[in-house]
Amino acid sequence: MSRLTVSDEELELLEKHLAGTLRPVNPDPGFIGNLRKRLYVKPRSSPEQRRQAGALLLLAFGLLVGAALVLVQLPRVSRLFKKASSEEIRPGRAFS
Amino acid sequence: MAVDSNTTPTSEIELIQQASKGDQEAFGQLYERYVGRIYNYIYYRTGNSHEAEDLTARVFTRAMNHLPHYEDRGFPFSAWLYRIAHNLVANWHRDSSRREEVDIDKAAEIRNGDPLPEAELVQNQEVERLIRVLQRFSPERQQLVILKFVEGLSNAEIGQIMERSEGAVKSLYHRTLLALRDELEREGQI
Repeated sequence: MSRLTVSDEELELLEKHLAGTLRPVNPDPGFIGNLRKRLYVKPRSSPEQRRQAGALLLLAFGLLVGAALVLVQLPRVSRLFKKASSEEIRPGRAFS
Repeated sequence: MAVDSNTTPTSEIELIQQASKGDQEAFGQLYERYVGRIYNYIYYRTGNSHEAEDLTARVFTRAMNHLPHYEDRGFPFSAWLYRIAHNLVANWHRDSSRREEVDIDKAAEIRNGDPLPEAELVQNQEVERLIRVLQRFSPERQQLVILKFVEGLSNAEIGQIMERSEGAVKSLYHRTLLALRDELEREGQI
């Protein structure tokens, strides 16, 4: 339970005591430097950069899917070519 | 140490806008401006330099990650940082397993590698005792005393950080001083 009557001088003395004891401290400069590096080295991308990266990713994905489709269809296409070329040759032989 | 964002509002707002768009240089300037204050605040709340470093790092990492969502509500940027620090310190206090404290004088010795001169040792012991007394108080009262004496802020500035009116801060400050005087008298410190 705190005393009800306190003089201004008493509180001023306490404030002086607190001001003299609770003084700002200097953080370790090594810590400040390391934290600065940790915060800055981590690459941060802007929304514009993120949009560009997204577009590039989409393009790369599209190219990859396209290439995969071509690879999958390549044997079929070559078979069709062979078939077509053999059909072009066959009538010629029949007339000869 | 006063809240200087009021003296350079435009540049600070610009810095925040640039930093929220990913400008590292702008964030770096905000970091340089406030890292000392946030460290001091956490140091006096925890009484431990190692925890102060760890929590200061977390404050700025969180600030960097949340900056794109930062809303300017007319309060200084420092108020936002202090609120992050206040919440992290509250979590730290809640986590009882992390409350094993290193004495301030020992921590200072570890930092410098040499024993401290006697006068400095006495000063450190006094700070340590005062922090122990302060830790018996509510987080709001601790915050008020640290912002007032370590950071040197006015009641109005403290009010912005604590989201209270200037009058409410003044009243809380007076009650805190009375309670602190009682505690210090009981400890024989004054």
